[in-house]
Amino acid sequence: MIFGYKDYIISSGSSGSFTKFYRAVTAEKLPVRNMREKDNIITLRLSAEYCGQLKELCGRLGLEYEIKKTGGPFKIFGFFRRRPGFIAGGVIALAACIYFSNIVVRFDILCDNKEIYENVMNVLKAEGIETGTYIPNINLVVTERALKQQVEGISWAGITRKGNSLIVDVIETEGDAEREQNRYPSNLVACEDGIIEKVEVQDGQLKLGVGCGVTKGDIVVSGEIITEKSQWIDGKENVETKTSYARAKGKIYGTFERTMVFDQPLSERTEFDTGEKEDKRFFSFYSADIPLFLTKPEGSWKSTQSYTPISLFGIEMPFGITNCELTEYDFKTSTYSQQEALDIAHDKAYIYEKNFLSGYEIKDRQAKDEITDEGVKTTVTYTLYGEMCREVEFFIKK
Amino acid sequence: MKKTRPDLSFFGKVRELSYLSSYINIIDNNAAVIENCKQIIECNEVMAKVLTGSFEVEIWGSGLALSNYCTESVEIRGKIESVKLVSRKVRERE
Repeated sequence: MIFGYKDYIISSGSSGSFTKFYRAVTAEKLPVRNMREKDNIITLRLSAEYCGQLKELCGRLGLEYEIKKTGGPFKIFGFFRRRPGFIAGGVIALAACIYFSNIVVRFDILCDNKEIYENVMNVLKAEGIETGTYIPNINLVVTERALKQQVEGISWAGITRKGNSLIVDVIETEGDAEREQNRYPSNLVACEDGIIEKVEVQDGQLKLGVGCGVTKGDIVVSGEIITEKSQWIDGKENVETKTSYARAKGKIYGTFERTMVFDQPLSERTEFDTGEKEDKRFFSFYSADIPLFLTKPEGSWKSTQSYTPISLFGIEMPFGITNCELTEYDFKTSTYSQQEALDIAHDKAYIYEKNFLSGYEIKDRQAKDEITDEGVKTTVTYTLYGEMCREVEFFIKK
Repeated sequence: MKKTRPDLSFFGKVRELSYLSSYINIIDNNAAVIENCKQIIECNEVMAKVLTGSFEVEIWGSGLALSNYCTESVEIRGKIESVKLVSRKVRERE
């Protein structure tokens, strides 16, 4: 009874006998169930697909029939016909299933390094792969190639799709990168103009000693080691030259000068907080953030996000609430007096010293202020003592 | 000497081999399945009567109901008290 069933009550009417009916049921091979005659009435159950045949039979024999009950899929169909919301809900759920199974909802990046994780996410975003991207449109080969080329610190990347998740597997190259670099020879090259005061060479051939003056680009310790071996054969000097290559290692200290200019215009456009704050919430499902608000705030805002996962019986669920604290900011034109501008320029110099000259000894500091119509300029000449060479790789000429 | 008829005639054997005989399967007193049923004659709460190839099968009981699931087979469910077989030849003679 795939199509359901119907329970019939058939009365004999004027004829008063069911003999012909029984004969017809047998002859037409109607698969009746629970057929029973009582008080001149036959009750029976019949599969829905034979109902038309029974009606036609009753009409032919002059019998009266009545449908007492309907069951099976017919009843379910009737139930849903009266409640279209169920059908609409089912259709929406089906559409949602199809949609969510074909878009990226979650990223699984198999990497513990937070920096690599962020770089991978940035490259994926640049390639147009974000939460909600249609998966069949993603070219995994091209994306893998982009990851290998653009993400520093990885030697291999592979992307696999599992349901609506994209699993990005990467292999970090911390040790391998170091080993690969070591294969190239290098020189220690002066990066400042100054005088060498102290030399610590671990490998390579020293070209310039203590007390020598160097300019930017001079090779102080060479990675190309040339050795000469002299032999006297038959009264003639025979010089054998051998060249070997090494990675120049060491530290070259010296005193040098560095001049920096810090300027500050008297009028400039600066950012400031308006004091306006707003909280916006998102429902986070894997990597997807569904906004729980209707209006998008206008203006320029800085945001601080915090994620609170929903826990069920102590188990952290893969969804939760992301709270976004927004702070509004704007731009204004600030005007400074000459003294204020000078103070700001001096502050900039101080910050520079803190950030970039902490590794050096400042032997002398000469500052010179200049005031123009547009702003002030502080030129500071530092006399520094510290490391003045850096490693530069070179290729061996064949 | 009186001539006695054999227990199973030639035609009887043919009928049996060609599965034209009526097979009646009774399950306790709850149900009876009659195969090779030719016609339903009557079916009420106390008596169901069907016609097979050679017999008229009367099933007596209470709360009887007839189901006709497949071609030429009927199932009678209810509390069966007795099954009566009347040869069609005898019935036609009467």
